[in-house]
Amino acid sequence: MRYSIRKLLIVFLLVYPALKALSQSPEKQERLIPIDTVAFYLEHNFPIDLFYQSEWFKNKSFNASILKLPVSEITDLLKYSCNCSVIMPDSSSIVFIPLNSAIEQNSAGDNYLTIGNPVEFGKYSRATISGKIVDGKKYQPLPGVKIRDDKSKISTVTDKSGNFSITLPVGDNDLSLSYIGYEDNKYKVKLIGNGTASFFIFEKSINLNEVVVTSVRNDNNLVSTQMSQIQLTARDIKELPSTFGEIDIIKSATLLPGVQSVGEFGTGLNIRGGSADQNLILLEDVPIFNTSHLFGLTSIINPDGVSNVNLLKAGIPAKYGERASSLMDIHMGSANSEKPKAAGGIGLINSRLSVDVPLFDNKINLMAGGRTTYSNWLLHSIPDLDLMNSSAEFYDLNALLTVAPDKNNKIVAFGYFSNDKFGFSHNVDYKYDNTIASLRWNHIFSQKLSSSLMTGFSRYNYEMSELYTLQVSESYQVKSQVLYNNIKGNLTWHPTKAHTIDAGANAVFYAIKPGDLRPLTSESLVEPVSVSKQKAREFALYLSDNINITSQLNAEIGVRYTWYALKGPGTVNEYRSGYPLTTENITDTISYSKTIKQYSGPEPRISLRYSIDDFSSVKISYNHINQYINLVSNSSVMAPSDVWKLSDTYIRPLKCDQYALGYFRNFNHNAIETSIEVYYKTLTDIVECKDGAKILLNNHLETDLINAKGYNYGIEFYVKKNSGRLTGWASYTYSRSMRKTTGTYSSEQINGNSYFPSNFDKPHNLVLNSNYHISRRWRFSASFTYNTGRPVTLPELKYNYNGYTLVYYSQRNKYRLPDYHRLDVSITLDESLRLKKKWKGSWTFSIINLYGRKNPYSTFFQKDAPTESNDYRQFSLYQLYIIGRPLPTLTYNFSF
Amino acid sequence: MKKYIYISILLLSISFSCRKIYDPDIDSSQNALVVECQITNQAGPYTVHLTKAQAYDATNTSGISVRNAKVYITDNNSHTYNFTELGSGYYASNAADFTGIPGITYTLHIKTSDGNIYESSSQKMLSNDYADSVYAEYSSKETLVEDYDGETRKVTTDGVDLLTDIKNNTDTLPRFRFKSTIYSEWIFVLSLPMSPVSIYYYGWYTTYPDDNVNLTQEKYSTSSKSIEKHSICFVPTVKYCIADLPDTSATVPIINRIIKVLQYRVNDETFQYYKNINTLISAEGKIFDPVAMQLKGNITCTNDPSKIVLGFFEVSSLKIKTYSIRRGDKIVVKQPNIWPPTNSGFKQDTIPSFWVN
Repeated sequence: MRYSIRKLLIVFLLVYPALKALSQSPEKQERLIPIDTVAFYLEHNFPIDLFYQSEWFKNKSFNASILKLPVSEITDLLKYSCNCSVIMPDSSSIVFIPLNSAIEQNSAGDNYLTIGNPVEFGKYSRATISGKIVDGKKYQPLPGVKIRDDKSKISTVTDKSGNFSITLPVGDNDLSLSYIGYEDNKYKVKLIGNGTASFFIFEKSINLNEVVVTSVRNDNNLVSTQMSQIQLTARDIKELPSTFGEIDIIKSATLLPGVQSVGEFGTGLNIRGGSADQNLILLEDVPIFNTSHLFGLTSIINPDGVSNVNLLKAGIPAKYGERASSLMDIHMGSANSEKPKAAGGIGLINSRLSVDVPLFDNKINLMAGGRTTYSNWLLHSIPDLDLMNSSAEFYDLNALLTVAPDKNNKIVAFGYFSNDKFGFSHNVDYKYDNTIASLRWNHIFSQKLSSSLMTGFSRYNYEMSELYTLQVSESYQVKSQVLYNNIKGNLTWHPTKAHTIDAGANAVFYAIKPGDLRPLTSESLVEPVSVSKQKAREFALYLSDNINITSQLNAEIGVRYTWYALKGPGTVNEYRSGYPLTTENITDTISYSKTIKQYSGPEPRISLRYSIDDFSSVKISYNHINQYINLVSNSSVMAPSDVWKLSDTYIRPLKCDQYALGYFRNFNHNAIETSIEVYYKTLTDIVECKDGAKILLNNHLETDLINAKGYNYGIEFYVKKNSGRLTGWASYTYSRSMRKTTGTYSSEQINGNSYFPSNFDKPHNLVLNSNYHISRRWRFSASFTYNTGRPVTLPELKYNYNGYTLVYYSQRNKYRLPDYHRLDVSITLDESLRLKKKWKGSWTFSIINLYGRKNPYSTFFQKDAPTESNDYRQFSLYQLYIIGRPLPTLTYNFSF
Repeated sequence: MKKYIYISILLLSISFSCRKIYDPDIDSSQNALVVECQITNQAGPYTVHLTKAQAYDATNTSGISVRNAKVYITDNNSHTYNFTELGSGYYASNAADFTGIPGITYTLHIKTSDGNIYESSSQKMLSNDYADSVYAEYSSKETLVEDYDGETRKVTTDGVDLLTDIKNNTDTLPRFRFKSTIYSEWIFVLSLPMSPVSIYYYGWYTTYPDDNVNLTQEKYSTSSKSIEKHSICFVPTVKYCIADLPDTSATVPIINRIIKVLQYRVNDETFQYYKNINTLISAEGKIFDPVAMQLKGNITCTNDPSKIVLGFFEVSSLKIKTYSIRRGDKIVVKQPNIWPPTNSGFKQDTIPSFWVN
């Protein structure tokens, strides 16, 4: 208490002059404030620490209005006032160095120091550098710090007072400072004559190690031609909201504008009104066909190894294709540590562990991780017959090997395997697994030319079996599989400063086994059935040029040309002309041995960026994409009954044209990003299911499907605060997603060929996501989501037929669920910042659905005995909630 | 196969999910006619029941009767069979002049008092002439019961599965629908303390084992086009029941179980309709359920095709069979088609005429 009062008093004394100055009328803003007040203001309003000695600012004071300036300008003013230079060893530290030992950073980021009077150049063959080395945080002199010139191998150490003196040959020297527990520092010293140099060195800390060095500029959202893009680095990912104590990268994407999911825990994302199969989700350049464990509980990506996530919703470059709506490119990567590291977490549903091992001076790096669940005990403790007899388990493993023999070559090998298994009430056992492998070679030929060559493999196996609920004679097993192989080559050429040309080729080989039915036991009378396998090839060539037309205008123009061929052997049913596609109207079946059906076409891509000024730009983009593979689904979300289907004679490729326009503006020197984007998307040949369609094991699936068309449009507002104690974003999206069939016959029509909202049509979407850094270790997060309820088809009438009471459903998606909103909060005690501490742990306490909103996940109706509680109804419509009350979770994450 | 409810939801349901009644503003203003009509090869009279569909959340159990309609059936031999209004929306054929004949195609016609004209598609009655056998195998069924203290637990009920094999020598798989009723016969001997004479009670009660429409499997394929081991119903072999006796109730031994089986040979359109009914009954609109379907029958309003018409005109040939299974046994004995006059009851000191010994 005493301490708090003291602290408050200090805060008051420090802040009072500034606040008072700021509250003055303009003509009275002559009040001057000392350096300590300025520093206090900066350190408490931005996530930065200032390192300086007050004596350097002796007799200096500043107009209080300085506090209204951006941080960079304040820093500049301070720098000039004390005749200091400034270095930033990390993104949160600003270190002032008196100019008598001028340290600058060259373009390569090396600290560069010139000592001696330039006019004495050539006068001496050796010279002495004297100075002091102090703790940059505590301002305490450090004895025993080793100072070594790597060229001449001459070294010395600081004395008790931190002073040192070293005599070296004049010319270029490589000075390194090393001290146990402190950051190593290297300086390129141009020694001309005797001189002094003082150095601050800093204790090693977790924060410094985890600084993510990217080539992304802070104003990338302004200057990049790419629009509708969201990039997440490892640091961003760390601050994403967690579900069940673990960060879920794919689910977290639903907090971004234009990205939604059908339900709280459904599989797949709906991006700008598209279905889940319209997203190309790449893990190390290879697509994933099922992104969820246990059909939506959590995603299959282990967050520990993820280094970068890039989501593109529009203006997709020519080098990418295959799926119509979006691209999510996920890359794994090590933390570039010099020592082996391990990290993991223990959560409610599952636990995880990953290791990161650098070898051979970091030329080889091996990263491996895995997760497993232990959810069965939960199931078996529930008073529900179905759940008592159910089981659920999953695990996943991943490994990434990076070999960088030199700076021009890098080889990355990646492997991933996930397995899910669950049984429902002894009735049906489900198993599915994803296997992914890729090998990539990046090569730099010269500063102007580089290449990337990769090959990838993705396999999705799905199996369902039923024994206990059937007669033994009827027990069966159904298996299906999706196989995907690809080869990609890309050349990047910078012929001039104004051009960056990407050219390449991509070959994809699909092989799908839609379903194989087998007897499960030897007593089963079920005869094996195989739905015809599908094989196809998709080739693409692309060329794009990123052109700096003027300093303000930039364009990325590209074209991708795709060829698709459905390969034989196979058969195609022919139907009676002028009649609907039904099994009764099959007139013939034609066999093909080679190519069954071909499609091809250009996919133009164009993106333009015009910089209005340093803080704002306008972007426009158009892309056309053909999609040759669809997930045929009879439910609102991805379900086990879904079938991956390649384009064929009747199921034409899905074609998407998207136009997007955006205005981007940053404030406060990129500390705040804002954008407004509008888009309009047309879709043709969307696959829709007829009422009651049979999807699984259907050898004439075309009779249960309809080619439809549709359009999506929307406007997205986005504000993001990147720095300061409070970070996060707010977004609001208004969007629509409509569909329409064009069938001639009633069986091929939905809602009489009128436009109807798709399952993903949720017009209003508001997201507020924030992190408040209470201190360097304590962090408070909150995330609020609101959106319009999704469309549903509800019963309108009831009637009796032959002893059964039945309901009659409305037209498709005529109604909507109630609106959805939820607030999640968490507080995290981040791991210790001290390097000396080998075992580091962090705790996260989170509450999902803080105010216990009963958000409807779906509706269902039940026949009830008429009672007072249901107003004496025979039928009652219910809402099902997944999380109907606040759900607290405590998770422990660790590393060592 | 039909239960696409997954662990993902269930896992979450464990601790958090709940439900509450949902009262959306539903448009139930459609004035839809509901037609129930079934003709078979058994002697009539056949009935047509006409009602109006109600709002799904209506509290009354039956729809409003449609009166003063003109109803008749025609066949492909140009015969017309008129139906007479009985009241409460029921219309009956003349038993003397109309019995369904396999191989004949029938069409239902309705003209309601508001001037609308309804007509079914033509429905062919198929033959039910297949050799079959019925037998039983021991089985068990799991159910949930609630204890006195409110705890829910799993209970396994022993019983037998009543199975049938239907021999078919054609290339087409025949479609059947089954409907079963179980009459349990019990006996109780009341010994009076002061009397050497005991009182014998011979009782029965009825249960209906079908939750859904019992259809033969639409098998993906089998070794033949015959139907093998199709489950007609599950017959529990519980040995005692609680019987309501004069002035008291008592635990009484069950002696026999009598199973009445209606076996309908249905055409493809009827089979599909009932299959859709099953889908509709089992679907509860959950997230993995198929997209909700509008159950469409085979009747349309010819003067206003946009009008919703519900129900179905079913034409099927019917076999009625009765079997008995003795207490604790699995031997199935064919019995004459004689059934109790009421769903439950008892006779004192007199063995009922329908009693199976």
